[in-house]
Amino acid sequence: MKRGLMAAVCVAAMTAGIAGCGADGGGEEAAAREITVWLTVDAQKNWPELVKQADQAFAARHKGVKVKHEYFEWTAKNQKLDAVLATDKVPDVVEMGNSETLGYLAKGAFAEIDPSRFENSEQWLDALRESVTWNGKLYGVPYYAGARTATWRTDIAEEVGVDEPPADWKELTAALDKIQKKKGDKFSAWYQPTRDWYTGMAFVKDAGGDIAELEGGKWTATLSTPESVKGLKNWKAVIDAYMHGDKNKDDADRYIVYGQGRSAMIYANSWEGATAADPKFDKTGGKLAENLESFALPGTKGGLMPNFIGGSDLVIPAKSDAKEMAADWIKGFTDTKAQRGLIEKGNLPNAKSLLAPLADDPETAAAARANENTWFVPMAPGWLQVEKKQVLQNMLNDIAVGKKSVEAAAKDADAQINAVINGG
Amino acid sequence: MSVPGTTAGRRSLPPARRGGADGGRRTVPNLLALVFAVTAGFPLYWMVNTAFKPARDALAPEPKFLPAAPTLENFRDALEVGDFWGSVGRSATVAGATVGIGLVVGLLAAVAVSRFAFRGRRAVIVAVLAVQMVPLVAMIIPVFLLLNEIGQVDRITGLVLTYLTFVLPFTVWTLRGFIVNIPKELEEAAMVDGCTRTGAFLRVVLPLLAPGLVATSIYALVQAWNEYLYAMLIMSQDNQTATVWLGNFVTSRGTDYAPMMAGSTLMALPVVVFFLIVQRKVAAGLTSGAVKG
Amino acid sequence: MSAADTSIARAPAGRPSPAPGPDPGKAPPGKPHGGGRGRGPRRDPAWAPWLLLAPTLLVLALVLGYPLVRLLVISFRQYGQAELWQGLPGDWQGLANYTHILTDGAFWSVVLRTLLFTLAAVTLTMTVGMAVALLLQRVSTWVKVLVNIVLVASWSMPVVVAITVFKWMFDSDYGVLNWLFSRIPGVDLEGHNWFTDSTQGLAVIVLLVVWGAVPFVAITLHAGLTQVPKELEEAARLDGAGPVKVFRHVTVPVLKPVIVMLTTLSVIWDMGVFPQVFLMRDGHPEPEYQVLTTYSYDQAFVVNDYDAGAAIAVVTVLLLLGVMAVYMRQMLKIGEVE
Repeated sequence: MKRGLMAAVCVAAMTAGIAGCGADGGGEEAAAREITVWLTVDAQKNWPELVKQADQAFAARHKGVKVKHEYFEWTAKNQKLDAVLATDKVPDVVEMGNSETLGYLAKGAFAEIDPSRFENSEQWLDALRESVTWNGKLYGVPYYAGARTATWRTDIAEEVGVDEPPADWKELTAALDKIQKKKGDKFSAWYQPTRDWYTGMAFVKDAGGDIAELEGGKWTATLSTPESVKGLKNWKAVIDAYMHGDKNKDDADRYIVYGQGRSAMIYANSWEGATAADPKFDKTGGKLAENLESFALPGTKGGLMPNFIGGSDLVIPAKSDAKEMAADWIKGFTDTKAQRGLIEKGNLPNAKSLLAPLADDPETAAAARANENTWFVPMAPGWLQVEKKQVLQNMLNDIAVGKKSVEAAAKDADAQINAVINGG
Repeated sequence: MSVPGTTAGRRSLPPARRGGADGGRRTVPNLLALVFAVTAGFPLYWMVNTAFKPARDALAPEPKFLPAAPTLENFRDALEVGDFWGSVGRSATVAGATVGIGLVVGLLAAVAVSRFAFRGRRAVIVAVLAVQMVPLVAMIIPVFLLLNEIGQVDRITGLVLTYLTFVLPFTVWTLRGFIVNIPKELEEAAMVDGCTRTGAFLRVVLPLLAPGLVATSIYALVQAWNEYLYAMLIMSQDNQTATVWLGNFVTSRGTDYAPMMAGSTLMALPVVVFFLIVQRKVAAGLTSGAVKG
Repeated sequence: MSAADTSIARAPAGRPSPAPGPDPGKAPPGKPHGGGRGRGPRRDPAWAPWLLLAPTLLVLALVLGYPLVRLLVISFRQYGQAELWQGLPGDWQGLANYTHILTDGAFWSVVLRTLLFTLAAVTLTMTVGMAVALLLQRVSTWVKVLVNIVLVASWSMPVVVAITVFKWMFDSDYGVLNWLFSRIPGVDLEGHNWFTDSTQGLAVIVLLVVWGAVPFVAITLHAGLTQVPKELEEAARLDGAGPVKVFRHVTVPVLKPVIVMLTTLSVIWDMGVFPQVFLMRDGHPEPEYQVLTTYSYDQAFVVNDYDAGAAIAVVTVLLLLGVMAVYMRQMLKIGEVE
C-alpha cells in the first residue's frame, strides 16, 4: 500500500513538472536536446513514413531537438524496458501493447497525460482508453487497434453452394460442415490454432462467461462457472469439427499455414488474410488473392462474436526528462492524418469517429463492425502475469488435445490465475 | 609431444595407414564421415539454399532443394533493413577488442597461475572456473545496473567488458594448459644468454604459445560475434551489433525467412573464412597444451 | 567469486614467507624443474603474480563479482519491479525465497529435467565429437577438408540463426524434415508436431545443442588424437590388442586431460543453455520444457519476482559446483604434476 502511494506521489510530482523521482529533472525542457522513442518493429517495417511524418511535425515545433528512434521485437522490449526504468536514462515515448500496460500503471511507471492535447481524445476506443486508465486518470495515448475478422475463401464456399458470407452461427456451421465433408479430414474448414486464446475467450464471453471478476476489490477467476464452461465447450466443438491442422501450434504462423491452402477459413487479425494472400505466402497459385472474403464472425447465440480489440498505446515513462516534448511527438504521431495512414496499413484507428466511416467501405466493413461487440482482458494488477505465464493458452491446448476435460482444465486455470491476478 | 605445435602436423599422417590396402581401408570411414557431413551440414545448407531462393519459394510445402532461379534479391533486401554495415562494423570492433584484450589480459593471468607459486593460487584457479557457472540470464538486471552506474550502457566498451567476463575464464584455463607444457629450461637458456625474464618470455615462450593463442582467440571471436542477449540489452538501436540486427526480420506480422537467411549467411561468412585460414593452427593449438597433463 | 575474494584477502599473509620448501621448481624463473629445487633465493616478489592477475581479477570482480553479490543480496530480499524502478533495497526476507523454491515440487522437476538434459547433451556431444575426431584420422584428405568446413561453419553460425533454422526444419506444416522423412516408404510424418510430446521436443532441442557443441569438441579431440604417439598404438597392436583395446588403454589415457577439460566445459555450458530452449518454444516454454535457466528467467521477468529468479540462479551455481566437484580436482591436477 505504501509503495503504491509513493508511486502515486512520484507520478503526481513528475506530471506537475516539479522534479524528478530518482532522476534529476532539473530544468528538464530547456536542457533536453533529444527525445528517444521506442516503437516495435511493426512501425519500422510497415509504416516508417508515418514515423517520419511525426518527426517532421515535431521538428517544426522544436527546432534542433533530435528524435532518436529505437525499434524492438515484442518479446525483447519489456525486458529491456524493465531494466532501463531502473536507471535515469529512460526513453521518452514507449509503445505498449494494450494488454501489457496494467502492471506498469499499477507501479506508477508512466506519467499522467492530459488528453485534451491529443486529437480525437473524446472519441478514443474504449478498449484502448481502458488500457491506459488507472484510478480514473489517463497514462497514455491510444495508438492503433486491431480487430479480428473471419476470412474465408469464396472459391471453396462456392464449391459447396454457398455464395454469401454467413449471417449467423447456424449458417456458418452449416457451410463449414459441408466444406469439411467435401474436403476430407486432412483439410481444416476453419483453421483455428488452439493456443489462440483471444478466440477461446471470445467463446467464453459469447456464452456469458468471463475470465475473472472483480468483487470487493479482489479479482477471482471465473473460468469454471457454468457459463464459461459452456463457452469453452462451444469452442471445443469447433476445434473438434473443423480444425484438422496441428493442434499444438500457436497462432504466430497462422497466415503462413493459411497460405498453404489446406484450410477454408480463419478468424484472425485483419491483416493476416491479406498477408497470407501475398505471393510470398500464397502457395495455391493466387487463389487466396482472388477469393478472400472477410466478414464479422457471428456469435453462437445471435449477434456478433465478442471481439478482442488488441492494439497499442504510447506512454511516457514517469522518469522521462522531456515529457512535454514527448507528448508533442505523440500528438503528431496520433493525429487524424497519421491515423488515416494506419488505416491504410490494415489497422483500426484509435477513435470511434474515425472508425465509423470504415463500415461503409466493403474492404474494411468487417473489421469496423467487429467493434460493435468487444471484450477486453480483466483490468487486474496481475493480469500481465496471467498472460505471460500462458495460463489460458495451456488450458486451451490441454482441452483441445484431450489431455484434460473442459471442467478440469478450467478449474486448474482458475487456480493458477487466482494465484497471480491480484499480485503486483 | 611435450613441445607444442611441432608434433601435430607431422603425426597427422599415421604410419599405420601406409601400404597397399590403403584405398580399401578408407572407404568405410569416408562413407561414415560423409554421412556425418551431410547430416551436420544440413542446417547450414538450408540456410544458404534459402538465402539464394526467391523469397516466395522459401516456405513451399514441397521444399526445393536447389534454388531453381538463384537470386541475390534476398541479400539486397537484407542489406536494406536497418544498418547492416554499421552493425557489422560494431560487431567486428567488439569482437576484435574482446579477442585482443582477452588474450593479453588472459595470458598475464595464465602466466601467473602456471609459472608462479603463491598462496591462493588454487583458489584463483577454482574461482575463475566457478564464475563461468553463473547463468548469464540471471545476471541481466544486476549487470545492466552496474554498467549504468559506471556509465557503460550503450557503449562498445561496456559490451567488451561484459564479453570479457565470459572469454577470460576460458582463456586463462586454456592458456594455462599450454604454458605448463613449455619446458622452463627453454626460458632459462634464454636468460643465461642475457635475456631478461620478460625478454625470454617474449622471445621463447610466446612463439610456442601461438597455437594456444589462436585457439582461444577463435573461441573469443565466436563468442563475441554471436552473442545476442547482452548486446540487445546494453546497446541502443543506433549502436546495435549484427546479431541484434538479425532480429529485425522478426515482426509481429511474421518472420522474413529468406532475407534473414541471407543476412545470417553474410554474417557467418567472415568467421568461416577467418576460421579456415587459421584452422590448421587451431587444431594443433587447442590440444598441444591440454594433452600433456 | 567468494573464493577469489578470500584469496585476495590472504595475499598479504603469504608475502612474508615465500615458502621455498613445499613448492619445488614452480616459481623460479627458468629453473629446470626437479634440478632447480632450492637453487638460490627467489627473485620473484610475492606481489608479482598478483600484478599479472590483477586485470583479469579486476574485470571478473567488477563485471561479474559485483553483480553476483547483488544477485545474492536480492535473493534474500523481497525484490520486484517496484523496488527496482524506485531504487529501493527491498525488505529482508531471510531464507524465505529459498524455502519457497526448495519446497516447490515444480522446481525439483525442473532440476531433474535440467540434469537429464545436461547428461544427454554432454554424453552425446562427447560421443559424437570423439567419433568424428577418430573418423577424421582415418579419412581421405578431401573428406577431412569437407568435414572440417562443416564443423567450422556450424560453429560460427549465430545461435539465433541456428535456432530459427532448426525450428523451421522441424515445423509441422512447412518443415523440410517431415517432408523428407515422409518420402521414406512406410513413414508418414506429414503434419507431425515434434513439440507435442515434450520428450520428443526436448530431444530436438538436445539435438540442436549437440549440433552446436560438436564442432568445438571434435576439432579439439582431433587435435589431441594427432598427438597420441603412434609408436604406443603400434606397440599395443603388435601385442595383439584390438582397436577397442588400443583406444581404451592407449588413446584415452593420453587424451584424458583434454576429455576432462571438454567434459567440464560442456557440463557448464549445457546446464546454462538458455536461448535454445527459450526461442525454440517461442519465448514462452511450457512447464514441461522448463530448465533451470528458463525457470529463473520466468521468475525474474515473467512473474517479476527478481528475488526468486536470483535464488534459483544461486541454487543453480551450487548445483553445478556439486556436479563439478569431482572434475574440479581433475582439472586442478593439470599443470600440478611437475
